[in-house]
Amino acid sequence: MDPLSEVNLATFQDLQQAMGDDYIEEMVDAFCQDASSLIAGLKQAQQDADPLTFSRHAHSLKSTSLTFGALAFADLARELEHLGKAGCLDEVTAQVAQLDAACSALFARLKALCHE
Amino acid sequence: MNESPQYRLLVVDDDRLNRMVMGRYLESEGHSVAYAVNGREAIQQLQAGQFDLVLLDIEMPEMNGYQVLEEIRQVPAWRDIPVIVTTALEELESVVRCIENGAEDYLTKPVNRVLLKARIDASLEKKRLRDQQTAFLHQLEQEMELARKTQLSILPEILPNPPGFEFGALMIPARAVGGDFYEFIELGESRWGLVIGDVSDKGLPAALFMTLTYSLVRAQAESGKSPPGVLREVNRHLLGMNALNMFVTMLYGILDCNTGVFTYARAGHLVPSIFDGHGAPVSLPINLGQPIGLFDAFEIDTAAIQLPPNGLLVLSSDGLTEPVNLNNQQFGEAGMQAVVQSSRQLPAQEICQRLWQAVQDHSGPIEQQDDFTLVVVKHTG
Repeated sequence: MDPLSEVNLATFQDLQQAMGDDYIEEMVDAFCQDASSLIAGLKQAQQDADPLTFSRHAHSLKSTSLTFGALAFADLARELEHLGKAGCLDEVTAQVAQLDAACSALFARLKALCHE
Repeated sequence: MNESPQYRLLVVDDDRLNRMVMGRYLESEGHSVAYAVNGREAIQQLQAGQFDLVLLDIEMPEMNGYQVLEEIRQVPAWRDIPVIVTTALEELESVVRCIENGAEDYLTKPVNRVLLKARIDASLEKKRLRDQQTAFLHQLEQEMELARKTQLSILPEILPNPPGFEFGALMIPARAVGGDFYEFIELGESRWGLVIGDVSDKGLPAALFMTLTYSLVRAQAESGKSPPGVLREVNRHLLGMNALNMFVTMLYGILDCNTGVFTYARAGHLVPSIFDGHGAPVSLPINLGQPIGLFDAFEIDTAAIQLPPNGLLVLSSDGLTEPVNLNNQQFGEAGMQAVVQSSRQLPAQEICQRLWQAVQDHSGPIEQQDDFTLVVVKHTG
């Protein structure tokens, strides 16, 4: 399994218990939509050479993935946030691609966990 | 069942998931939650409704958390709303900046349910106590204002205007209410009773004692007693109802407007000041006089004086002569005499105002310590 799609079980289960089964599903759906938009936003911001927007999208990606316990995914998003803040958008292509590639597996893992 | 009171909270965060998580936690605690996705929307929500607490993300598009916090702290209606900032763990520098700018507390994201509840409960409890204190102070201010108006309404609204005499009077309490008073009582046959008194202490207890004393003096004076007779009767009554051991210095005199003679009794109060037609002070006989409310048998100073033509009679409390300046020098008799000398041609009421202004000028930045009370009578006949 791609480490980027790994989810810390304790974090997820705590959240599931607090939110309830139906609501956690709603949240996972929301995350899947938002994360996809944010990754598209990262690519666009890189293309536009807009480090502020880039770091803001990376910040959101980090924050929301942490909520579910997607720690490695969040770490990479944090790295991108810092690179964006430093204005180093020419060094981010590979990491953005990594996040993008990890999304489907992460989404699937989260959806599966909702029913475990 | 959750029985904690419901509060209305505003969650400001540009991330939908953060809003969902915090909203769910807060609603499960019984709170009513509204949401804003950026700073601008937060301000619109605050303008549209009342909130008990704001959970504020720092990094947001359009208007960030710092700007929202600054605006909240500048608007008087929002100033007391507690703001808890929410931020990533590695952004503690931002938290410090927010706390310095008036944030109540902070939480790191992802938000922990237990910490969220603890911080919100603590902030709301502080707000509840602050609100209670503000409401109590407001109520107290309203009651003091009513007391002030009630006390001022006791003072004569219209000054006597007998032929050959002109009256002026002024009372400026050091606090909302004071312990000084004055009164003019028409006794018939062109005679006027003049009273000035000063209750020990200041503030509300002194004001209540003053009101009691005032009623007693008025009742005794209207019964036609002599000045010492009035003071002795007031003393007798006060001794029976003086649980706080307060006392009052007082001067009661009768001005006969036909003869210009002022016959007075003085119970520990300041000696009246008399000025001749040229503004020079006239010396008076002084005997022992003790305040009212302390002893069964007490000494009263009595005298009868003829007001000189174009002369002045000044009755005052110690708020006229005792105020000090930055060098700790009192305004004193000399200060009073100088003002009277220079303004004696003015109407009596204007002389009162000049004396008050001179006391204020003398005191400068030093706050008024004593009630200022003054009665001026000009013998124009």
